[in-house]
Amino acid sequence: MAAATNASPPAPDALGDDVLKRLAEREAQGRADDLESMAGLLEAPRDRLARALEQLARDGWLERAGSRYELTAVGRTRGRHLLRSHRLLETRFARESGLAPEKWHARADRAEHTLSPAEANTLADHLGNPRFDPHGDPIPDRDGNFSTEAAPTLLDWSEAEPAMIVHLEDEPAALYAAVYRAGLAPGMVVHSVRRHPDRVELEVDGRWLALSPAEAELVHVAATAAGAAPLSRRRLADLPPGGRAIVAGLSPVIRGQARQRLLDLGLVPGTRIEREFTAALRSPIAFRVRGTLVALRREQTEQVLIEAEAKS
Amino acid sequence: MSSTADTPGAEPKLPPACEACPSRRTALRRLGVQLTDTDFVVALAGNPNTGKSTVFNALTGLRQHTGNWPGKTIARAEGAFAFRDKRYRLVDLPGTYSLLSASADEEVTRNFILFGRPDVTVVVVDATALERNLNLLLQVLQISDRVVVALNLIDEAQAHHLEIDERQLARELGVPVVPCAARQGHGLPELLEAVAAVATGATRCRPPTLRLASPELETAIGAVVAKLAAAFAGLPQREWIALRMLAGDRGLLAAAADGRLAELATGGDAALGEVAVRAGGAAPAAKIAPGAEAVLAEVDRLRWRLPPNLHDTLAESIYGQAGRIADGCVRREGHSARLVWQSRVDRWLTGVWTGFPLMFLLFAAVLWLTISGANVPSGWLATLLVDHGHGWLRETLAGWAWPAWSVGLLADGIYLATAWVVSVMLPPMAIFFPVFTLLEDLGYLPRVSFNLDRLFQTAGAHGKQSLTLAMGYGCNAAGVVAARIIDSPRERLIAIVTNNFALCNGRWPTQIMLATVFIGALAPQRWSGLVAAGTVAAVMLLGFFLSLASSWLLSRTVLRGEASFFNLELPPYRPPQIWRTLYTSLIDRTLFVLWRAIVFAAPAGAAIWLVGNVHAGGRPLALWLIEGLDPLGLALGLNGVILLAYLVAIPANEIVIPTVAMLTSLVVGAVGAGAGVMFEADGAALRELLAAGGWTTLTAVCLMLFSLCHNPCSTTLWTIYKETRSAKWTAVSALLPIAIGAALCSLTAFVWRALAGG
Repeated sequence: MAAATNASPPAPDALGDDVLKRLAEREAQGRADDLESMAGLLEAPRDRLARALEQLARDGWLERAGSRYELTAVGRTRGRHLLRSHRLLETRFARESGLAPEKWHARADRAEHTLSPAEANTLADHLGNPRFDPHGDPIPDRDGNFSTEAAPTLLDWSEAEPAMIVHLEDEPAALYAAVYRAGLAPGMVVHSVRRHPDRVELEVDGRWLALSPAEAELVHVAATAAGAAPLSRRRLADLPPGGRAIVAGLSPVIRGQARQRLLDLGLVPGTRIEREFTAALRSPIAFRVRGTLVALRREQTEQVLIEAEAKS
Repeated sequence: MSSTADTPGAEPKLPPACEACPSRRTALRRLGVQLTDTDFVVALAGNPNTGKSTVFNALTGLRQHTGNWPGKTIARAEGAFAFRDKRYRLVDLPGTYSLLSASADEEVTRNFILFGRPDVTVVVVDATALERNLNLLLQVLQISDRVVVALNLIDEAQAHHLEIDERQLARELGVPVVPCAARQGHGLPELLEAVAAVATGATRCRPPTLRLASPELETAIGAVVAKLAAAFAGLPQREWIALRMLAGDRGLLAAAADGRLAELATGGDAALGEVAVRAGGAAPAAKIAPGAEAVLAEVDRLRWRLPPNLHDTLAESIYGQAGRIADGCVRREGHSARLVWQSRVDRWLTGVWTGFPLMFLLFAAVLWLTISGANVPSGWLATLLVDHGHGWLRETLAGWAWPAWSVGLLADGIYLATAWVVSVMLPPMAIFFPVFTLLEDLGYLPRVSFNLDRLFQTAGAHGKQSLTLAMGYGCNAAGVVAARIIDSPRERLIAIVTNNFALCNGRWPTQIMLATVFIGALAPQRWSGLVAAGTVAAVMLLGFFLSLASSWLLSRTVLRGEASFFNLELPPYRPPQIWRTLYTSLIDRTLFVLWRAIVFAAPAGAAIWLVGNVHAGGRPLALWLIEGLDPLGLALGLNGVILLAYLVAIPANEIVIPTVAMLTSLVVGAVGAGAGVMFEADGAALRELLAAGGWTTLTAVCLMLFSLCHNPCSTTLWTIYKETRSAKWTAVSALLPIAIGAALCSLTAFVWRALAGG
């Protein structure tokens, strides 16, 4: 997509870019924000936001449509490019930087303004052209296309139906950090939900977690295929010494090179795994997998999902 | 397995009967590194720790270092051999578990097999872990159909009561399968036959196609293959290339864009292998080669339709197939007693109450063996080189009427230092490293890594740092080189910079002498030996914790970054090849020490002699320097003599004590072997001399700490520079220990004096 040429309007400032990005995202979802919610989300005072919108309209990035602002063609292009850059950067931070998840968004926010479309494409190539960012959001492709639907949150989901987490809202940052540390990530299957006035309890991989209602609102879910979350699914960390199980898969939390390495060692669904012995300092733990003895650190065993061996 | 003489090109004249004999015609000629005029290129691939290097050495006659833990072969090695009048170039590719990800090792292997188009790819497979090894093998079969499987470690499989039907395996895989035990040399003739047959086209291979678990993926691959066929007629391995493109392999996508795929389609040659390997990460070309646009557009279109976790699907499919094949070909005949006792041993070695004690015991045993074993040979060497050799040299030079100063410089300085290093250093290293290598061959070292991993993880270091540290107890330069087993540059740097805290062989004499003469002497006669040993052990333990602490510091400040993926495989215990290990270790170590003595210690010897014998203002230079350094020395709980000794003895730790003795005698005015000449005295005499020089117990304690924490010796520094190619990090490696040592010593001195009220 074309970078700013001589015919393009002057580049917006950081707040203007954020506005364009947000509008591009909402437009694709078929929804719109009002001024209040946008101001809250972008953490800017209301009147400053109003001025920014007017400036963008004057420069040709937005156009007025009645009482609302809409994106012009160039505005849409830029907005989607920013969205792409932002999500690519977050993917890179998730895979390569070792930063805590709550920091990805802020860093990406700062860096996205400096990425040209060509640089974004190079970054995408480097990452293997991922289609979803670590929050489960789709990454616009080179032409700016992507599709997104608004999914219901845990607060709206029916209690008895299993659901897959499709998206974790990353703002406000503090709540997102809490949700992430609870061990949730897009792609995980929630087996059942219990809503109470002051908390929401959910069962994931054989463990019960509790979230505050505010935190639960960040978790968007969708229906999942029957059988995707059998009640017997557990984490490898919960396998007792000498125990045997069948690998059911890897948690979505582990991605990139680390995920690939575990797969290479044979931790694919259907593999028999047996816990052999543990180091004196409680980590790592040795498992017998496909005829070999492999050592995994305790944190890694939290990310491998297992099922009990079928009794036959 | 016989081999003819290794003189290339010279065909010996033999009687006709011998010429016609079949066993003559199958003789292997190992050609080492003569890589000219080869007829065929053979690639060697396989999982880590399957005996690839053993096969490589057996065929080429080279001596790559092998050891029983995954990840030993570091650089890509090449060698050559001749078989039946054809010459083969053998390329040893890095050991990898798979070819699907973007790591450097896997990219090198992938690119070499695809673009380099070797005539044969030999995949070395561990017969005791066939299922896991099939993962890589099945992937290789997707890239090349000229493959020979070396089913190695077949003797180990038999010991584990595993029976493998290699003919069934060959039928399933469609390629020749040759059982072998490379360490004993079994199966190599058959392997060579198979390689020759495939290379010359006598055997046609029919590898199976990979059945994927995902119909959408299959459809997508079909579509891309169609476009590839249209754009690049004659392109080999289309399915695999299509799959890689859909997976976003940027190397292949770039290859399509810049025309390398087109060249491959028209039969590009092996030289491309080099280009592809080097340019694997190049930025996409500005201009897209004709024909490639349609392919790239199709790939872009289809990528969105694919299941999200492509790698998962692939791995599942491959392992599914591997499992099926292994089930059909491998049978376990009854219970493997070996497996049972190995399990039991593992539980002892890693148990909560037994793991660490056993590890310490083993380490102590190694140390005791090294020290006591080296005592006598060191004595012999000292007598030979120092007592006799030195005297002889002096006489000879004097006999030739050389001026006195040059005799002094040459005999008392250069020769003496060199002789000292050799006699002190050679015996311990000749024992420590073979023992270490035997443990390595046995497979014990990964268990050490296993036990200590948590400590290193907390310190922000890589798990394998425990092994480089263990090497450092022999020689820090060797420990630094061993850091190559750590892939991540950041973690390798941490391992290199902190290695100095492992007390190397050269420093043991200093520690033992100080502990015996000063500390042990404080205890009652019966316990003095034990107390001395305990003190040295305490210092070593302190060194271990200092290395962890400094790793922690580095990983939190200047070397911050992500921790690389933890990956540790615990191989089964294998009987070590004792004689071969002893031999290669001995030769390697001997040469290393001799070289080091000459290059580094000799100049130091000259400097020491000069400092002690060049007079300025009526006094030897040394005395001036000592006076100047005294204030600093005392602040550290040491004295000027020690500091000067360390300054001139930077090259080699072994000559510190003789230098100290020489300098002290200069200061005190006592008589040693002559003014300004290094010498060694035994316990009591040394104690007297040092006491006369103002030494107290505090001095000894601080010196023990300082000896642990001073800058690395010059060999190590030079090795660090070669490994890191960075003057900055070499400087850090030198300064960090000194800083910590200075802090520790001054603190100790301060507290000691405060407590003693003096």
